[in-house]
Amino acid sequence: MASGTLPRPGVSATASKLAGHRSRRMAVTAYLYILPAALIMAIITLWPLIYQFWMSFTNYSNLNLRTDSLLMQMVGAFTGGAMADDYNSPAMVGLRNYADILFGGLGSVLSGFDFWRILLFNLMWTFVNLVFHVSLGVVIALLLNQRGLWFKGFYRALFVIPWAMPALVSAMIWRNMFDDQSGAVNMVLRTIGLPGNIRWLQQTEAPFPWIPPFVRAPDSTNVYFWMFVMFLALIIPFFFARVRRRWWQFLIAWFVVLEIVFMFVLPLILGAGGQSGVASMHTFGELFPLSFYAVLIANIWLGWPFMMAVATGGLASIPSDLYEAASVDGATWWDKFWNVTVPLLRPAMVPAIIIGMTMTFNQFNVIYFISGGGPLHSTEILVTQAYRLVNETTVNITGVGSARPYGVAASFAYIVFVVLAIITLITNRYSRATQAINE
Amino acid sequence: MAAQADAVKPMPLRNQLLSQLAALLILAVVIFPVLWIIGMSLDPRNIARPSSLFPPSISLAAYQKVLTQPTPNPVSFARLATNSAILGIGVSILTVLIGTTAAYAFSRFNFPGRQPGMLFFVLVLMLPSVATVTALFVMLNILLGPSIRNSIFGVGLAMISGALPFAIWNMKGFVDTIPKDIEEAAAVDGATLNQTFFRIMLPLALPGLAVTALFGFMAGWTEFVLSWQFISNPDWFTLAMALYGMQGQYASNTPWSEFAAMSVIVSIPILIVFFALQRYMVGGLASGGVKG
Repeated sequence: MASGTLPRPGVSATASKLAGHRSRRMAVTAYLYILPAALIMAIITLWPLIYQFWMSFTNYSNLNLRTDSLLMQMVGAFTGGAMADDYNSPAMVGLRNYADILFGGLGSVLSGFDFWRILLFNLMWTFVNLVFHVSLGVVIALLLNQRGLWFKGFYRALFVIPWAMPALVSAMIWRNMFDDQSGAVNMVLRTIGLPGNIRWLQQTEAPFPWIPPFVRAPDSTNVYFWMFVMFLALIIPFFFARVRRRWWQFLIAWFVVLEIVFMFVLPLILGAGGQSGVASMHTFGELFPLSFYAVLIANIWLGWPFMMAVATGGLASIPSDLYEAASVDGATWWDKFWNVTVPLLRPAMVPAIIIGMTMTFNQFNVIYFISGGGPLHSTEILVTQAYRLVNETTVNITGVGSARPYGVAASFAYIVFVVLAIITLITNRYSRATQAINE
Repeated sequence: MAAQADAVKPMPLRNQLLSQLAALLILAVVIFPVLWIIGMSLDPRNIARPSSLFPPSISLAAYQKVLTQPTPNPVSFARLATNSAILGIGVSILTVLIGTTAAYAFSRFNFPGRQPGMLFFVLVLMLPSVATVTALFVMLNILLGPSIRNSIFGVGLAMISGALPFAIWNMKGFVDTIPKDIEEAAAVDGATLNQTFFRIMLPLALPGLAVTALFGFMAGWTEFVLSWQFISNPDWFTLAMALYGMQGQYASNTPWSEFAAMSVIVSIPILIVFFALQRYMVGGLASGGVKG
């Protein structure tokens, strides 16, 4: 489009040669610009990743920390014998660490550990949080976007406080506020005449065990795995635009189909496949003890202002003639919201939702400092579990004895990595799809 | 034009009042934890069960206590604050310094290895710092020795390993939003690549750099996971570690007023920097992160 790119006959050969020279020089400059970062990342990012990958196939523990050479220790693990003794190498265990994590072997030595429950809980935690963050953020941005509203700037400035506060500090403050004896939440409940002795962080029973979906699976199988499969089956169709257009009708129909499958067909198939025994009913509501609602409230408080800030920016870029035109056509407030605001806000919100999603998925501070993953590890997410495996766990490792399971922790980290990679690939695809529509 | 529209259609009073009511309600929820913690920090009774938001009288005793003896360990408040500041400022400056040129190269130049390089960043970005902590712990222990691992420098190195990819990615996203025409004009006027970068790109990218630096500072100032695992020597304790230590396992043992005072002190620098850079925050973050 610039005039310089118009074809100029006669000079094209020289120009292309020049361009080739120029691009080579540019490549050299590019490498020089990248060099400092690349060197540092090779040493402190790439190398640990490789080392950790190797660790994940060994029974590495705190007993292997003393060695003269990292490389020789790695080699020793493969050769064994004197070399392994000299450099204090761990033994190679193949895929056993991964199998122990995924198929329940680790759960039998580490009480409260169940990979599929943690994964499912982590996904539900992210999903529920985002629904609240985005809807509250957009609605409050709309509220403050009204023309002629008094004290607009005052509200906008103060509403971002939860975002500006260090998450570590807010989490600890909320931990304090949820204290059953001296916390502010119970105090407020007492003030307005409600029972103010709720044991927010200790009560183990789920307050709403009837929350669907329901799954019936034989007790001899891992029911959390089947719940995870059902959750996937429930959300996958929504990645297709055709489904999203009539999402409400589709959701109900699809939900009924899945319920029939997971309540009646699944126990039949598993029963026929030799998994005999009693098949009991489980609900998604059972996954959420009272402390889940406590951490959820705290994280909603933390998360919506970012969405509000992004939505405010997005709203500012919607031309007001569109609303005026819609008014002329007799559109109601509701029509304008769904047909003007929502589609035009989407390009601004999608990147924010993806950032919010990774942040919530890995929200270490809120979970670790408020519920501590408890009670009975029922609110653990993948990152807090990863941290516990490195920092707070001692298990009986076969052939080593009671020690810190660094090898298992390394495998766990790689499994978390794969989960995150899959989520990011899907969301990246989805965000590109919406970008292309708008450009 | 906006003023004209305001004049034509003023907000109906009923809507105004309802909106104000809603906004005030939200404000109450937003501000409550902040008031709660400030009230508690000023409460002279240092009690486990505050009975109302506003203490009966105001005293700075908790702040005094925290500033003179923040933890049971023999470590001064100045030392804790210095350690946190070294971590925050060090991570923020180093990542921006090392990452800026790389971000520029990834945004503007086309060279062999660009795509694999970017893919590596995206993959590393997804890894929470907790995930590489085992390997870093083992490696720093063996390569630098337990005494350096057990210090703020070991933690700093480990932090940069996670913060640098984020910094590069975020700054690249910001540079992507700056129109190329300006650099092309400079090139036409005979500026070299380095001149273009230092004289034109850096000033334009300043908001992006500032936000990236802010994130580095926030991450370093409140770092907990790595410090808690790496550091056992009280000389290298940070404010975040002291704060966590104060919370204790049982509510009745927690010196609530001191905990509250410490929370306020830890938050203030972050709040100041955040509000100073607030108008860049949305652009500086939302444009980074996802644009491939």
